[in-house]
Amino acid sequence: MTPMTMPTEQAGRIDGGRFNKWLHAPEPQGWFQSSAQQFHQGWLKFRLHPLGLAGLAIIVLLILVALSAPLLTAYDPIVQDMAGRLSPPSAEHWLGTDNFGRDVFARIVYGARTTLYIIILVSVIVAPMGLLIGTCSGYFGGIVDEVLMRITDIFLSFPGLVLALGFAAALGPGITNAIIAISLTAWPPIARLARAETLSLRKADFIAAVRLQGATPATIITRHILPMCIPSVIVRVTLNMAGIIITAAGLGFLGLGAQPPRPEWGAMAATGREFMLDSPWVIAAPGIAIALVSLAFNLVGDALRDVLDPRGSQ
Amino acid sequence: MANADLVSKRNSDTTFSEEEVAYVAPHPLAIILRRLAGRVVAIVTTLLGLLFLTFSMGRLLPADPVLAITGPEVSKEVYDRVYNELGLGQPILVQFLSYVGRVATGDLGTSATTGQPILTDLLAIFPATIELAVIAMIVGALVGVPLGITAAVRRGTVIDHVARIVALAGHSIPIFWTGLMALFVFYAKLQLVGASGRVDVFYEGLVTPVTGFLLIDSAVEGQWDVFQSALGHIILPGAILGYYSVAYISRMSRSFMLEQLSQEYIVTARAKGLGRRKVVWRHAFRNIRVQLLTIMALTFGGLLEGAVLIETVFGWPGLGQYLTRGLQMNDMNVVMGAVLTIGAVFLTINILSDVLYRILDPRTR
Amino acid sequence: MLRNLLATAAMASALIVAQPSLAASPPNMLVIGTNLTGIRTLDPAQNNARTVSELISNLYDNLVQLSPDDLKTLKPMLATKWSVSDDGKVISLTLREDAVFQSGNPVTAEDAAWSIQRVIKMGQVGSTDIALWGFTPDNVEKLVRAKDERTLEIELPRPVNTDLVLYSLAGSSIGIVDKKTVLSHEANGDLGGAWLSANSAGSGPFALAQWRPNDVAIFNAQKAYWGGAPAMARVVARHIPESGNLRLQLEAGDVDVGQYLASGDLDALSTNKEMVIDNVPGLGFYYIALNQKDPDLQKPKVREAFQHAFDWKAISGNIMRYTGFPWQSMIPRGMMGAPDEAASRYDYDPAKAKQLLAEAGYPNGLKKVLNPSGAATLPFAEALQASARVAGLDLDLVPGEFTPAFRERKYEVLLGNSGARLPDPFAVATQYAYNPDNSDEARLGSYYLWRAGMKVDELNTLVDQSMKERDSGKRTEIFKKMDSVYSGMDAPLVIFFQRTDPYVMRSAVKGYHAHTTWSTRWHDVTKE
Repeated sequence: MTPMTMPTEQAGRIDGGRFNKWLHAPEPQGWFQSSAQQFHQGWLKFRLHPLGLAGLAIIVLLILVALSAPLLTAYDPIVQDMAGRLSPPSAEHWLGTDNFGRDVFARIVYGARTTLYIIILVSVIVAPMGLLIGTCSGYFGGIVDEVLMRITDIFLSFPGLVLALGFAAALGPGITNAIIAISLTAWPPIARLARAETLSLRKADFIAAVRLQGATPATIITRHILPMCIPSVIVRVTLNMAGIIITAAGLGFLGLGAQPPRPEWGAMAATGREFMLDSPWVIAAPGIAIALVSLAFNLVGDALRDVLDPRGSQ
Repeated sequence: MANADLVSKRNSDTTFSEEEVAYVAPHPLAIILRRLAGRVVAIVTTLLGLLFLTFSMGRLLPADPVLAITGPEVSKEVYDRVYNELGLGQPILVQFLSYVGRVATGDLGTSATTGQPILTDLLAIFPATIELAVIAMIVGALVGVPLGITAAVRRGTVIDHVARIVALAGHSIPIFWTGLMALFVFYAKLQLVGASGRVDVFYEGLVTPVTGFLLIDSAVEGQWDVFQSALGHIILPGAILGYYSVAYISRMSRSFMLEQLSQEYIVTARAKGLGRRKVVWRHAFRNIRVQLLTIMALTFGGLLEGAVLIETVFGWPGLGQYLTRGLQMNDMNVVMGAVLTIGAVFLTINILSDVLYRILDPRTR
Repeated sequence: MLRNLLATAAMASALIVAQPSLAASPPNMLVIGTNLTGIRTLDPAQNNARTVSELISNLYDNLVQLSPDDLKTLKPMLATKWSVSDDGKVISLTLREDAVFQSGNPVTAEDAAWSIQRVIKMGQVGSTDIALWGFTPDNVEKLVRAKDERTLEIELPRPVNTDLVLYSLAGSSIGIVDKKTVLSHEANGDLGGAWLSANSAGSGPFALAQWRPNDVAIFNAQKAYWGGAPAMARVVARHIPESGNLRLQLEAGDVDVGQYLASGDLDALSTNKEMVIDNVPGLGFYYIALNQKDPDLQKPKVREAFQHAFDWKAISGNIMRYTGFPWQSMIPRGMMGAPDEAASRYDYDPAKAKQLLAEAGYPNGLKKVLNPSGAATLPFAEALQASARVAGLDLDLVPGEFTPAFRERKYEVLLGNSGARLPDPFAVATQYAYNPDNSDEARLGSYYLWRAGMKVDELNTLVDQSMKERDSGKRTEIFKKMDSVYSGMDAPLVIFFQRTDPYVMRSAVKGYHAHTTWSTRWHDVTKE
């Protein structure tokens, strides 16, 4: 990724203030300032994508909802109320109740926490893992590359859901195992991407220069190559996140995700299915929630790709 | 894919070496054989890795393989005997190798829930999934390709945005939910399509399974009422599964077409006054046909994934339902066999489409 | 592009809508929508579960039968009359003359003897009931014998109430098979087990036409049946595991009888005038098992706490409406020795449960893992989890199929349901009260009390007595005593509901009477 060039004063309007001056300084001092400036430039570009902004808004909404769940609803998502089961949406229960009398809106809202949990954990596992494997593979080449890529190919030779299914079943039901299973299926594309980037970076002059200076491979990889791969990895992870959410929902639907009574959107769809014919609200809400969040990541990913990696027209 | 990696690896070797000085071109046959050997090694190792993954999944499953064979009511003597017969006390590597050996001879074990050999089960149900996937492919192609091409041709217009929305929806809405909603609308409320299974109940067993594809078998025998019933049952899951490939196919068609449209020959042709439709369909489309074909092949693999959930929703007796039911019943052999089959098919498709691409696309020769 | 889409859509819809309206199932065919999961074989000797019992009892006749509405009186089937010797040791059965197998071979006493011997020798689940009387592979050929072509003699190795023995002969596992035909297909000394898993060789009113595991079973009527050809020429048992689908097909008339429907769908169907819901009582219960190998659960006060930790009333009117009724005694309702009323021995009292826990040494409550035995008991387990939380019991629900783990004593708290085939309290008592050896090595996995890890000598004695006692008045007393001992000991198997099995029939279907012992027969089914 080529470093971004600084735009000149935009239409003659630069707001005053020290922060802004810092943000627009022509020669950034240090890593933090240059990163901040690049981020700012990226944000300006991103801002021009209305769909991307919409997606971002949804994601922000997801985070807010997850964090403030107790404030948004007075109902406990776990407490059962058999007398009031399967009641349609009303003023009391905005999205109705499910087959155990639990408030559906509350379960959606608390289910957002589960979704967020999955998103964060999977990203945190997959990105570093993929980056590390990919950069090592690309940098060292030879037998290391062969072995690592062979392993990657093996994981890629299954459709994502099937592999996740197999592992989730093998590890047992539960949210942690589901996250492990999903992560195991999500890292290969990241690794391949990082490897491709590393391969093209290997021959760059500055790498040769640093090597001549006596840097160890570990340093080269971690301090020089890895950071250059990060933007495209971010784009890829964001784009794949939509699929990850859907895979997680699929696992939940098959009973392999979060276990009762913990609210999880995929599992809610599964239980709602039994009552779909007479109480469609039980299944409609989680489905829409999953679709919205997944859509948001798709939109943000698309916009990010335009911003960070305009070459890719896929 | 693997081949490309090998090529790039060679190119990225250090540039200065003594070999460069006294370089003798190797015989072209040697090159081809070496490449072939490389590919075969790659495929074999991938297959072994696949086997190892399924093997480890199977061993990790919280189900007792002995009880799976004997049934839960078993005495200690019988239990120990079967335990030893299964070789469960041996080291993992030995168990794995014997597993590989058995798979190579087609012995995938016996299902605890059906009592049949897994291979028999798989052969019986695999056509159902293939039939579904083929219908889905047809839907996906018929809708996706024109959609993508039109979106490229009329870039930036409403059609382009509609195509984008369709694609986005395909990537965002979970397939099981769409399936359930569709079942709700088209079966429950409108009573337009058939319910679970491949055909109405009383048509069961009336058609002799030659190919295993009900549509073909019933048509061949001239049993048109069975054909209609089968069509009514396959159309909804097939269409929904197909819809999910529409997203990918239309996006790829669009980008391929865009690539073509920016080429010089297109501009020249248009300048010469050729009608747009002719330019698009006679010239540009012809050039992307090969790429589209490989995209379809790749999509087929993705359809297998979607089939797992769709079959569960629609009660379609195929590989996907076999897998999920095996999971529910903790039937280890079923899970291993089904996952292995899906993986093997997926791998084969990827390899074939790679080969296809190299053969058909003159640029890579 | 748009035109392509429209054209395709139009074509597809035309093809579909033009379907002939053959939606209703034909008048001489019975279509049963059920769940065929886990049915590996149709060999009577290898089965005793609910769904497969129904299928088998239409392929194979038994020596005697019980009619669905009278579970006490044995009626003739392949045996026209029977008698017991004065010392109660030998039962003689006289077979009818006109019964033939589907192969054309006549049904003889030799076939009957061989079928019973076969069940014992194969030692599969089909032998569970009959092995209780002391038959072993070594002694069965001598004890179960054909005296002549029409007379079967069964000599009992130990003193047993002969009614019990006869009840067990009515079970589907003791269906009489065609010895000649089955032996001609024997492989590796398996007594024909492999062949019989997908073929039939019986004398019943139906023969197996097609069998696809987890998919469909098709039966063709046997016109030469001694009881007269059945009205239904064909019976199809279709695997329709999704309750919503099954309900829709019932409503549409595609399916005539529906089994294993979920409570929500049953609720909806109950208002439909074209549907009849038959709630057949079963010989089993829904219970909570508390593993006595767990030191916390050993304490009697903790066990007592569980009795008050479940708001069963809340679910009895909805989730459990069709699958059970409140019953808290180990003797099934209506059987000899059953209390008149046992629906309120345990009531939901979270405060009391908390207090009991505190007295047992758990002032802050107790945390345990809860497993359902399988998918059928999962909603039950979810409900228990919620009400137990208020009572201070934090139950971590881990779903799955835990019956195998239950058999191995590898669980903490488990929610299960049981069923039995013998219409006598002895069957249930054996399951819930009997445990001769509580050691781990004994592996007595078929006894629930062993699975729970408790041994009560007094109960063992009572169960034994109930098996041997010939006088029904005395047996009634024995069962009453059993009930009082059981309920007074804070049993580790806490019973809340007696099981019922709902069957839905379209009102046009007549003569389909689901059986408590699962031997539901289709011979008399007609459709209007």
